[in-house]
Parts: sequence; structure tokens; C-alpha cells
Amino acid sequence: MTTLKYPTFIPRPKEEYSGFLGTIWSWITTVDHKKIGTLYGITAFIWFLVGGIEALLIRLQLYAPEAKVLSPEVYNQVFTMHGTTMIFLVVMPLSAAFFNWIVPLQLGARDVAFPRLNAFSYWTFLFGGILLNLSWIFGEAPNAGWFAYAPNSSFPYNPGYGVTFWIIGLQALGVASLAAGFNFLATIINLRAPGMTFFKLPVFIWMTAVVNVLIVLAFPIITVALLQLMFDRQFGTNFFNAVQGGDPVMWQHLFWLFGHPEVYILILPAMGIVSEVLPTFSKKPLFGYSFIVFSGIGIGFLGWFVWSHHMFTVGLGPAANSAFAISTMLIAVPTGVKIFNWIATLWGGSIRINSSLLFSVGFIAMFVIGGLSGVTHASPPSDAQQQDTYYVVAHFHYVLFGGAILGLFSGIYFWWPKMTGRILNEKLGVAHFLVTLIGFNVTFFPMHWLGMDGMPRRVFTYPEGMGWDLSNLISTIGAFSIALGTLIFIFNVFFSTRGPKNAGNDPWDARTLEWTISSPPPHYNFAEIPEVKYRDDFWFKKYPELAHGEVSGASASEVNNDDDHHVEMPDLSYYPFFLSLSIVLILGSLLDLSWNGSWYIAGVGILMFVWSLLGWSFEPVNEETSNQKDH
Amino acid sequence: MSEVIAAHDEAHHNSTGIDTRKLLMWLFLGSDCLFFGSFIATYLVYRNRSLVGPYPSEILDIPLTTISTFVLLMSSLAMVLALNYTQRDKPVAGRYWTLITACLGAIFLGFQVYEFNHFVNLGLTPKTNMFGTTFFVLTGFHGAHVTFGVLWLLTYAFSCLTTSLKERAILILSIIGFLMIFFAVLMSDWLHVIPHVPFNTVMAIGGAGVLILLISLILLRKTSTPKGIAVSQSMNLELSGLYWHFVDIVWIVIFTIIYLVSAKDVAPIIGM
Amino acid sequence: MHQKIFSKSRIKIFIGFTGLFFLILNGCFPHHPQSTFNTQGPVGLEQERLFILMFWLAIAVFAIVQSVLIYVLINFKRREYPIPGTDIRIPDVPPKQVHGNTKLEIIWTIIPVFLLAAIAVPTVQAIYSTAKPPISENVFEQPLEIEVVGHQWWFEFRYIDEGIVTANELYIPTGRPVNIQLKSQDVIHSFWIPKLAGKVDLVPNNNNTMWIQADTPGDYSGQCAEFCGIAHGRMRFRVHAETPENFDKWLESMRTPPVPFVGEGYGLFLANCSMCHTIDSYTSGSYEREVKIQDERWSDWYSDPEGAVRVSAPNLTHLAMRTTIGSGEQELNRENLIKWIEDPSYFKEGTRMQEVAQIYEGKKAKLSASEIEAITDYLLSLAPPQLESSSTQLETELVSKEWDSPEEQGEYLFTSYGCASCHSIDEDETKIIGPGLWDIYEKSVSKVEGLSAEEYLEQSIRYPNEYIVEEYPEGVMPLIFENLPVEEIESLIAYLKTLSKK
Repeated sequence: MTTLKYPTFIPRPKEEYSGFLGTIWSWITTVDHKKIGTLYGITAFIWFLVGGIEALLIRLQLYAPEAKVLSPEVYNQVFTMHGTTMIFLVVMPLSAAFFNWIVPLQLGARDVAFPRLNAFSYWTFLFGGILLNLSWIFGEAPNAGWFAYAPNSSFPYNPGYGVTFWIIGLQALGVASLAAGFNFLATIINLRAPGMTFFKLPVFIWMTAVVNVLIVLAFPIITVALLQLMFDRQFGTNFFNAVQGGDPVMWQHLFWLFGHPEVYILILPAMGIVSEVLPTFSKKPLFGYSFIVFSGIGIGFLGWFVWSHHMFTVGLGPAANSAFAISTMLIAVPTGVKIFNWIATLWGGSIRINSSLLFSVGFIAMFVIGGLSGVTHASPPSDAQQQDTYYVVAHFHYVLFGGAILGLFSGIYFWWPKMTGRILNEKLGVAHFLVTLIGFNVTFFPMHWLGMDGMPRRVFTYPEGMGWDLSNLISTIGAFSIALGTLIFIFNVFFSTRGPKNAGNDPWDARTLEWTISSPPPHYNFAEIPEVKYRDDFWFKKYPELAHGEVSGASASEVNNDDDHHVEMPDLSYYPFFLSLSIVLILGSLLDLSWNGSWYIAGVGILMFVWSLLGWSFEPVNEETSNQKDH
Repeated sequence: MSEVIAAHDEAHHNSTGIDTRKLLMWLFLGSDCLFFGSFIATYLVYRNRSLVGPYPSEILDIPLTTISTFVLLMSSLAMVLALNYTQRDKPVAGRYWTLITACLGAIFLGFQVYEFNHFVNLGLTPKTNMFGTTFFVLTGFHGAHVTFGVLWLLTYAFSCLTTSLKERAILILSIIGFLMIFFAVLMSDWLHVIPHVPFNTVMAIGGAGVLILLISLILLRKTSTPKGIAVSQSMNLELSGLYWHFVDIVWIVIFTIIYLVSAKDVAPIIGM
Repeated sequence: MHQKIFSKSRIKIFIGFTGLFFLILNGCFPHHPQSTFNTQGPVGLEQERLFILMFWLAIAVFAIVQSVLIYVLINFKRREYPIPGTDIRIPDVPPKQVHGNTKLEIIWTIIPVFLLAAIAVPTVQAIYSTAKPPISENVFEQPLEIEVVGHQWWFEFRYIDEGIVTANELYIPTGRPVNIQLKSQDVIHSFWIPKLAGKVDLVPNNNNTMWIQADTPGDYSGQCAEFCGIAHGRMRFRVHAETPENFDKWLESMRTPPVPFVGEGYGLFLANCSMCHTIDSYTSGSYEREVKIQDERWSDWYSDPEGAVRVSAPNLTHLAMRTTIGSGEQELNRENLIKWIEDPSYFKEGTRMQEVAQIYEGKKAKLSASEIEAITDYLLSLAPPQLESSSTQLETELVSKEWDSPEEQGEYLFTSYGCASCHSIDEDETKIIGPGLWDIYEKSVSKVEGLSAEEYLEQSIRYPNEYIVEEYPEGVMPLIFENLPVEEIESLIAYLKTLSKK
């Protein structure tokens, strides 16, 4: 098909690059979902450390009344960046790392549907995160909170680069998330192995699907809100300008209409991981598969009708508050169903207690606490006392740290052998779990008391005599225990890397397709695309005698993974990298329109954008394939 | 981004039978619905909240916008024909109709540029009041979508339906000719969007544009493209078609809400 | 595999949870100033009651779920398993493969629904009962109407019917509902007195309402609860709930002029502070004036934050009656007040005062220590005389001094009222803030049609906004000279006449 040949200015990258620069180039041009997943994971973990240091700074400033560790301005920057980093640069990309690694493997696919789009997502995420954190160099990090309520985030209350950095950084991250969202949905819909109907999908895949539907539908809303705020700041429009009749509450509606689904974007991947870990280690199928799936869908659906519970004190009126109170309480039902089903999965099982399972169980225990405290502020009159206090801080750390992060750690211990071929040290893993769990509770449990004791959030210090001193001190000590736990994990990773690659294909006696192939998997994943008969197909292939009651049918033939049958995989491409770079350059040029250099940056960005977009469009996926077709 | 993904799912097994790129396009359009939905919601919330004029009733020219709306709707028809001919392996007709689609889109954009310019001259800018803010940003982002669609169609027409370098050169010429007419119209006394251009210069640019366009269109009536190429490339056109129709539908909603529903809006109902 | 229900571990768990209860109970310290427990008014009580209901329900669910979880972990723990990385696999009998149980699913869907219904019904009731005060026929129980305006970073309190404006310390009568209208001029704030009621936000362009009622007299601590910028953590206030008699006394004292003050502090205050701080809210018409001027001050700042010379600021009428400064941050005493004037950031970083007021260069005030002390003394004198003596005629001591000529008196008044800090009297008429006054008498003759020079000058002193000299902003000159005695006006004019070549 010579018609599609298009002159490219740099030759197509090949696999055989060597040396240091060659290695870097091979990572830049990779389109392999496993390598991209690794990049996501490493990058997100580095941001996790950055966000953690910010958290420690916050706790240091609050360890005693009237402490002077941070100035109020820097404190505001630190808590804003802590929230933004942990949500957009840690939990979301860490989940994306699992999506990348696990979704194609569990589906029995060789890659995601659009490998180059996948690389594009990663690079845009990386550059967006860097752009956001560049603000530290200017000494003007975002300081309006991760929610950036207008008009505190608009001129003239917030001049300077901080909020602009926040807007353009988040726009880039939004582009990355949207691209990944489309990609994973297309992958899940179209790349399922033969026989894998929707109700044979692993629950992790289901939760990934729900999360990506939420991403695809929620991120345009925040994009619009950010555009409006940016136009207000950079071009003098009036969207949130009260003087001209604009309404600051409009920002809150748009933000939380995105923000609440975002909460489920953060927690559902962890729920998916737990739903894989518990059956594996209790050697039982997931209890009530369809109820867990439908409650996940239900949570994603109801998540669209509760956003105003972030705004109970805004003055929307008793009717609106009642409606949103009830819809919020309804969410507790599917969440409860999940918890009960997980416990029922464990019940009667043969539970192997190891670090992965402990993190999952820790997830359930902590998530229950966070869920219950959530119910207390689903009730507007009660929430009137709790809104914007440390009680809320305690609540969402119980669901986002005690929930999402513990769940993600469970996934790391669970899939580490598959990703690296090595098992993480068990003793260090349990130590990591115990120190983290205890440190977490020491940090965040006292915050319930602080909130009920009237300590508002986002205050850079507090006076003596309010009775908040002891709880804050305890909380600060706890924060450092969490840091210690994280250090144990890092040590574990380095310690375990020195061990032999002896995990084997299936160290946990697990249930899904990823465990049928070698660890780490070959470039092409599956030499032959497997055929699926059952939910938990691999388990019932291993133990056909347990398949009683399952859909009958002959088991698929043994898969030979040693021979790669000359599987055609997409070639490397550098266009995703440059397209991401160009988008971030264009966004970055919006930072300061009064500076002439901005126009040059924008110009370079636009040229690079056009070049890489055209190059990408006309670049054949696979040179050999297209050549073969010519003949 | 999603709309420029090249085909590479051949190697994959497909579970639903729906082309994966088409699936991606539908997902993107679903997402874009929320994008425009949020802007339209903002417009509706801020209706009647401008504290100073000009208000919609003083400034909107409904007959003019009706014409541009009609032009955009006709472009959808052209798009359907372009895809139809391409799928029936008729690259010449497909190419003409793709170009016509892009041209109609560009004419719509010309109307929009004129309208923006006219409003600014009448004292309505994005900074003036809530109507200015919401109007310019909503219609501006729609215009950006149309612009992207025009460029997409032009690159498509110029690249995908021919194998010959000569034909590609003629296609580029036709685009240049069209753009010359486009800018000549903007420079004319009649529209006065680009001011202070001597009449002779305008006529020279416009005339040369007409000439170039006509000659290239005549030259394009034959093609050396082999049989089957057009059909094999029709998915590319189908994707841009989906996008194009979506953008048209969005305009119908915007036209209804801004030009029909709020055409009589005057001073604010809610005093602040 | 299944063990007895009452195993040793179960008992240990039970003891553990009992310990946790005590911990939680100890966590609620109702005596702390901003504790949301032991609330003192009907709104707060209703909210607290609802929380406690949900709290015990949550504790029950918590105890059940967590104990089942721990029970499961202990009871169904696998003792033997294959060793990874080796070929050794200890045979392990897989447990019964249970896929689900629809009956159970229905049960644990319905039970939470009932629990939530048990919360939802009182929730909706409480939403409506806390939205508006109960309607009462009794005239004396009609709600007190108050407007709270949020500013960066202090609260303004306006008593709509009483025509009183004050800041950062709210006085309310006990046993009577207080209707509060919440407004904000700049960003979003939130008004919260934990001991009395939950918070409601102050949002620009959105006029919210709430109501509170204090049943016992006392001082309640409040704080802004919506992140509003750099000094958000220092945006506090006090609510003084007084018995109705004491509240009426307070109202009357707010309408009484302060004891006249002798000393240079008054002039320094007028020269340096009065552009933003009002001190005369006891005079008639002062309420409307204050509302208007506060708005103008803010508009000045908003239209040009960099170049503004004034910004909305707390009303300081009868400041000495308050207990705190810096919006509820520090105890009000001479030492703190001096520090505050010297460098507000010592207590509170980011104040608009430090940013806007001309007397601050960098962080420090450009005033000498003695000048700051003089201002402090003046501010601390701002209190009504004892109410018993307020009925007697006030003696005016200011003019008791003997003067040789009206010009001399005028010159003294001109400096002590601080006119010189805004108006130049030099020949070159340097522009300071207000118009230069060289040759003013000559110019005044023809300024306004139908007014003689004397009449024009008197009008400009008493009602400066009636005629504004071109290029000068309206409303900058403080409106505090409206009631100057005729004699003082005359001597000021006499002094102004001397500012001429002749």
C-alpha cells in the first residue's frame, strides 16, 4: 500500500538500540503495554514520595500550635500540591500502571487496542506532572487548594503563576487520562479472548471498565471548568467574576460534577484488585460475582448524582440538600454489598495470609471506617459541623489511603512476581503492612477528634488553648511511621531485586489468564490467543474436578508459550512522545502571555504538534505488515 | 488525538465485530458531548445575568446566522455523498465532495469570523458581560472544532485517495486557491474583517484564487488511483464523517439555544 | 476448621473494642472552646443529636463487620501451602467452591437500606428544622436580624434594625433567635460557631441565611471554615451571648459617643488610619454611610489592587470594648496593639492593611515608636463613658485652650486632625493624596457657583463628597468632620486664608 507512505524526517526506530542512550531511546519509543505500565508505576511512585514529603511538611508545621516550619503562603502551596499530586499524579497513574500491565494479560490480548495512544497517555502524564511541579522552581506553586474555589483562584485574589500552573498542568493530565480512558474501554470491549463474554471478565477488568467510563465522561467537565478559569485569569472573561454577575458556585458545581466521579475513579481500581486477591488466597471463587460487578456499576452510576454533598454548606436550600443527602446515603448500599461479599469470599476459604492478602484485608477494615464516617456527613445537618474540618480529612484519608493506597499495595505484592519474575520478601512485606497500618491509624484516627473539636482544614497553624495540641502531635508521629513503612517497602524492592527469578508462572496458584504465561511475560504475551470457557478459566483448567456446576464444555487445549510463531507486534514509534511534548509546550506557553518568549514556545509547540500528528497518522503500524500486503 | 489513530488492529482479535477505531471515535464523541454540554449548561445558567449591554436582543442577527447554519447543514449532506462515493470505489467524486464539505465548513467559519468581528465593533467582547463571555467561548470552541474538521478533511482529501504525486500537488493548489478566496472575502469592503486592504489587492488575490481553484478542479476530474484503494481507505473518511456530523449536531443545539431561545433576552432578570 | 464462637481470641477482640470505645469517648472533649459536643443552642443541639444517632449506628456496624473480618482471618487461616520458587507442594484440599447466595445478598442489601432510612428520615426533618427559626407570636421573641459580611480576613457584623456596625465580635441576646444574612465582598468564607451551629458559607452574589440561638450566656469561639487565602487560619471571631438586659445595655453603649480624647494620637489616627477605619458609628446616619463607604473602599482596591490606597477594613468604633484584635486572634491589650500597629504580620501574615496602607513600608510602619504609642492610647480610649453618666452633658475639653488668634488655633487643628498628611500646603502643591491647599482661599471663590469661599470650604470639610476636585477620587476623605463646632471650622478657614502669597 504505497499510498500510505509518507515522508518521515527521522527513520523509524528499531528494536536493536544499545548503550545508555539507546536504552533511553528504546523506552521513549516503546509501545509495549508492559513497558509503559512499568513507566507509569515508577513515575507514580516517585510522585508518591514527593507527595509524601509534602505531607510530612504539613504534619511538621502542625505538630504544635504556632509552629513556624512553613510560612502560611508556603503551607498553602504545600497542601495544594499534596492533594493535587496524590490524586492526579499518584493514585490515578498507579491505577493506570495496573491497567496497563494487567488488563491485556487478563483479557488474553497481546497489547492494548491502541499501543501508540497508550504511549501518548504516559508521556502526556509525565510532562503534565513535570509542568505542574515546575511551579516550585518559580517559587509560586499552586496555592488555592486542589479544588481551587473561584474567586480565591481568580484575579485579583490570586495573581501570580501558581494557579495558572495548576490549570495547565491539570489540562495536560486530563488529556492523558482521556486518551487512556478511550484506549482501555476500546481494549476491554474489543480485545477479549475468544469465549470471554462480559460476565466471564475478571472483576478487576470490570472495575477498570467502570473507572474508564467515569474518566471519559467526567474529565471533559473539569476540562471545561479549567478552560473557564483560565479564560477568566488570562483573558479577562467573567465566568466566575461576581462583580459582573458571574457565580462562584458555578465553579463548585462543575468541579464537583467531575470531582465526585473522580473519587470513584480513585477507589474502584483498588476494589478490583481486592476482588482478585481475596479469591486467590482463599482458594474460592469470588462470592456473588454479579453482585460485586453490579454494585461497582451502581457506584459508578450513582456517583453522578451526589456531587452536591461537597456543597452542603454552600446554601443550595433544604430541598436540594435533602435530595443529595438521600442519593449520597444510597451509595452506601452497593458499597456495603461489596464489603459483605468480600468477607463472604474469605468465609470458609483456605486463607493464605501473606502481605498481599493482609493489604487487601487492611483495605476492607479501613474502608469500612472511612465509609461509616462518610455516612455521618452524608447528613447535611451533621455535616454542617464537619464540613471543612479535620473530620473530613480523616474520612477521605481512610478511603483514599486506607482504601486506595492499601489496595494498590496489595496489587503490587500480588502482581510483582508476574511483572518481574521475583517474589517480594514476605517478612519485609508483612513489616511494611504492619508499620503502614499502625502508622496510618495513628496519623488519621486522631483527626476525627480534631474535626469534632472544631479544627478547620487548611489552617496553617492553630492557637494554644483550643485542645488540639496532643492530637496533632500524635498525628505527626503517625505520619513519620507511614514514611518508615514506605522506606521498608523501598528496601524490600531493592532487596528482592537481588534474589533469583524463581517466581515461576503461577506462584500463588491463581485464577486468571495472566498466570498461564511466563513471569515476566514475553513481549507478545500470548503466543496463541487462549480460548476461555469459564470465569476464572485458569483455575478450572488446573482443577477440572472443582468445575462442578460451571458451564460444561471441553477445556481448551494446552497453550504452548515457548514458540512465538512470529507474532507481529506494532513497531516502535517516537511520535507519541513528541505529540505529548508539543501539547505540553503549547499549554506551557499559556503561562505568561505578556512574555514574548511564550510566543516562540507556542510556535515550536504548534509546529511539533502538526509534524507529529501528521507523522503519526501516516505512519504504518508495522513496516513489515504493510510491505507484505504490497506483494 | 483519537481521530488520527492509524489502523493497527488487524493483528488483534476483535470481540464485537465493531471496528476498534470506530469504537474509539464513538467514545471520543461521547466524551465531547459532556464537553459541549458543560459549556451549554454554563451559557444557560448565565442567561439573563449580564449587568451591562449589549444584550442578545440588541446584537444577534438571526437571518445571517440562519444562512451560515444552512451552509453547515449542507456540508453534512456533502459529507454523506463523499463517503458514499468512496465506499463505492469512486475516488474522484469522493474527492470532490470531501473538498466541498471542507469548503462549506470554511464558509461557515467565515461567517463566524465576520460575526465575531462585527460584535466586537458593536462593543461586545468576551470581557464585556456574561453574555459576551459565554457566547464567545461556547461558539469559539465550536468554531475550533469545525476548523479542526476542515483541516482533517483537507489532509485526508490530499493524501488518502490518490497514489500520484502530481494529483497531490494539484490538490494542494486547490486548497491554496480556496484559501485565497477565503481571505479575499474577509478583506473586502463588504465584510471588512481584515481592514485597510486596497481594493485592487483584494480583487487580485480573489481573482487569482478563483482561477487556481477552477483550473485545479478541472485537472482533478481524472485519477490514476488503482481500483480498491478508495474502498480500503473509506474507514478514514467514515471517522472524519462521524466527527463532522457530530460537530454539526452540536451547532444545531447551540443555534437553537443562543439564536432562537435567547434571542429576545434583554436586561437582567436577576438583579445583583 | 470451624472453631467455637466464644474462643479466647474472640474475647480478646471484645476487650479490644471496649478499649476503643473508651478511647473514642475520651476523644470528644466537650469542654474545648470549639468542640461540637455540648452545644448551647437549638440548632447545634439538633445537629449534635443527629450525629450521635449516626455515631452509635456506625459503631454497631463497625463492631460487627470488623469482628467478623478478624474472626474469618483467624478461623479460616490456611496452615499449609505450597512453597513458591520450589517444587515442593504440600497437598492442600481446596475448600468448597461457593459462588454466591442470592438470599444472603438480598438480606445484606436490605439491612443497610433500613439502617439508612433510619438516618434519612431524621436527617430530612433536621434539614428543615434548622433552616429557619420557629415562628413565634411573641413580639419579644422575634428574631434579631444581623448581616455578616466576610472580608479577607475578618468578619463585619451589621445590626440591620439597630443601625450598628461592628467587627469580629458579635453580641447576641440569649434565648432569642438570631437571623443571619451571609454575604461576602471578595472570596468565599464560611461562618461557623461550633458551639452554637454548623457552618454556612458566605458566597459572593449568593445571599445565604442561617439562624443561631444561644441558650446560655457566654463567649463562643468561631472561625472561618472555607479556605480563603493566606490568612485563612487567622480569620477568627467571637460571639458574646449576653442576657437580654446586658445586650440592650451594649446596644445603648454602641450609640453613645466615646469619652473625648486629648493627645496627638487622635490626629495621627485621622491622618494615617481613618481612610479605611471608621470610628464614629454612634452618629446618626452612620450605618448607611458605613455600608456605602465600605463598598467604595473595596471597589477602590478591586479595580486596582496594586495602586489602591484603601481597602475595606474593620469598623473600630468603641474598640476598647472588644476583647481581641486581629480578627479574634490576639487578646486586646496595649502591648499587643502596639505590636499589631508596628507590624501586623507579627500576629497575622498577609493582612490587607500591611499591603495597602501607605504607612507601611516593607513590613514595618513608617511611624515612630512614640507615634504608634499615641495611636494605641487613642484606640484604647475608644469606649463609651459609663452609661450612668452618659446622660449628663459631655464637656468638650478640646477647645478649652486659650488661643491668641483663630489662625493659630486653625493651624493647631490642621495638624492635629491630620489634614497635612493628605494635603500639601507648599507653594509647589505637591500631590500627596488630596488636592494641594496653597492659595486655596483664592481658588475657592470661584469653585462652585453660588457658594462663597467660606461656604465652599465649610462644605468641603463637612461634606467632602459634595464637590470633588477633578482628577481626585470620590470618598477618600474621611467623613468625620461633619459635626465640627462652627468655631473650629472658622479657625480652620482662617488658617487656610494664610496659605497664600499675599
